[in-house]
Amino acid sequence: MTVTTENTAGQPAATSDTPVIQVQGLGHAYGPRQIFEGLEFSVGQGEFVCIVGPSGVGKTTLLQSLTGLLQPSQGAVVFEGTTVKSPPEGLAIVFQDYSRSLMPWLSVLDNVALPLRSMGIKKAERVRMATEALTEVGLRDVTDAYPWQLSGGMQQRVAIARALACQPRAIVMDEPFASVDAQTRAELEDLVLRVRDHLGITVMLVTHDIDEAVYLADTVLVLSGKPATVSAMIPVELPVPRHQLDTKALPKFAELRTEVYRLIKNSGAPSASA
Amino acid sequence: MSTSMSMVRRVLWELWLPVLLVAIWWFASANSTNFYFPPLADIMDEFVDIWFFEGIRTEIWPSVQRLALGFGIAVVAGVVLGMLLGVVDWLDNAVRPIVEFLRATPGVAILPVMVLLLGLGTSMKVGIIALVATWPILLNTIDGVRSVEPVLRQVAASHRLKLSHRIRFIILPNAAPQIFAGARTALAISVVAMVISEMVGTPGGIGYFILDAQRSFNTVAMWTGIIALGILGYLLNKLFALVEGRALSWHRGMTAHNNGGK
Repeated sequence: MTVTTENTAGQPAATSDTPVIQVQGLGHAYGPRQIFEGLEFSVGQGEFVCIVGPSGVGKTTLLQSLTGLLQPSQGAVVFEGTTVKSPPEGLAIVFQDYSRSLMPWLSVLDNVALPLRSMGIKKAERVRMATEALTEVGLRDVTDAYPWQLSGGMQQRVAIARALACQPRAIVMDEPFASVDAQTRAELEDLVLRVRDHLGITVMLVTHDIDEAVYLADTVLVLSGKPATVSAMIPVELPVPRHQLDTKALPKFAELRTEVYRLIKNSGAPSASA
Repeated sequence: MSTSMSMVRRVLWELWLPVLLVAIWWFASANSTNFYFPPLADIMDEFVDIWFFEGIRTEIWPSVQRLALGFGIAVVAGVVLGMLLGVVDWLDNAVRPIVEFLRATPGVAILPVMVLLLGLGTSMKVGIIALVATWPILLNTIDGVRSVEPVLRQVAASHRLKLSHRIRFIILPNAAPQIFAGARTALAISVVAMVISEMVGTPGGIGYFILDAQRSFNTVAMWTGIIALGILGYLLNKLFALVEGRALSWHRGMTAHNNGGK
C-alpha cells in the first residue's frame, strides 16, 4: 500500500510501493536525432522530483512525453497504472511561459475555471473551486482582472492555480520560474512547496537551475549526455520544511549541489551548455 | 487636463477638415450656374426635402436591409468556413488555389453571372454583397485561427478541453482581432457592391436613386443622393467601430497596456 501523505521527513517517499508515474525504457528521436533514450525511473505518491540537466538536453521533450502531449518513439510512461497515450485525467501541467499559456481574453477566474467547465462542472461549483485554487496561491483579490494586468509572478500563480483547480493527483512543471526575477522566483518556489505539503500531490519539475532543483526536491534526477540518459537519481536528505536562507546555508546543501553540478559536467555532455 | 476638454479637442480635430471643405464648396458654388455643379445651398435645401424622412424610409432603409443581410451572410460564411479551413490543414491545401482565384476575381465581374442566375431582384443584390464580402473575412479568419499560440494548444490538450470549448474560448477569441479587421474591409466593399447591384438591378435603393436622378438630368437630386450615401458609409463605419470596441475591449486594453507599461 501507499505511504501516507505525511510528507517525507527527510526520507524521500520514493519507496512507496505503488509509484504514481513509472517511466519504462523511454526514448524519443526527432528523425535520426535521438534526444534521450533508455530512461527508467518512477515517482512515488507525494514525491517531489526535479529533473535537472543542461539546456538542450531534451528536458521539455521528456516532459511532453511524460504528460502525453508527445508520443515517445520508444518505451512508455505509466500514470497510475495506465499507459499514457494522451494527457491523462489527474495530471496537470504548468508551462514555462505564463504570458503565452494564459488566455488574455479571459479574466483570471475564467482562465482557472475553463478546464472545470470542460469537465462538466456546474457554474457555481466551478467558481467555488477556481476561487479556492486562487486563494491557495494568494490571488483571491484579483479574480476579475485580465492576466496581462498582473505582474509576471502573479501570472505564473494564475497558471499554477489553473493546474490546481482540477484537483490533480500529480502536477508537472516545465521550468515554471524561468521567466521571473529572483525575488519572485524564491516566493514561487516556497509557494509550490507549501501547496505540495498542503494538498499532498506528486510534483515533477523540470529546471536547468541546480540550486532550485536541490532546494525543492525530494529526489533530483540528473539528465545528461547525447542522447541524454539518467546519470543519477539523488535523494535530497535536507530537513523539511525548507527555508530559502537556512536550507541553502546547510553544508549538506552545498554538498548536494556540487554533486549534481559534477554529474552534469562530467557525464560526457560535449556542449559547454550556454 | 480634464477629459471633457480633451474630448472637445478630439471632436474639433476630427471636424476641422470636413468643415473647411464644405465651406469651400459652399462659397465656391454659391453663384454657380453650371448645370453639373449646382450651388451647395440648393443641394442642401433639396437634401432636406428628399431625405428627411421620406427618402430614408423608401430608399435608404431597403438598401440598408439588403446590406445587413448580405454582410451578415458573409460574416457567418466567412467565419464558419475560415474556422474549418484554419483547423483542417488538408482541406485548406485542397481548396486554397480556388479560394485565391475567386478572391482575386473582382466581385463586380461576377455581377453578370449573378444576374443570370438570380435575376435582377433582391436575391441578386444580397447575393453579390455576400459574395464579395466573404473573402476578406474568410482569409483573415484562416490566419487568425492559424495564429493560435502553440502553448495554448498544449494547454487545451493537457486539460482535455472539449472541442466546442476550444473553439469558443480559444480559437475564436484568438482569431477575433483578425476577423474584425477582415470584416471592416468587407463592410467597405459591401457598400460598393450594394450601390452597383442597385444600379444594375430592379428600381429601389440609394444606388438606383442616384443613377435615376442622373438619367433624368436632376443633378441636384443626384448630388443629394451622393451626400446621403457618404453619410451612410460614415455612420456604418462608426457603428462598426463601436461593435468592435465592445467585442475586443480586452485586446485594446492589452495592447495599450503592453505599449504603455514596462
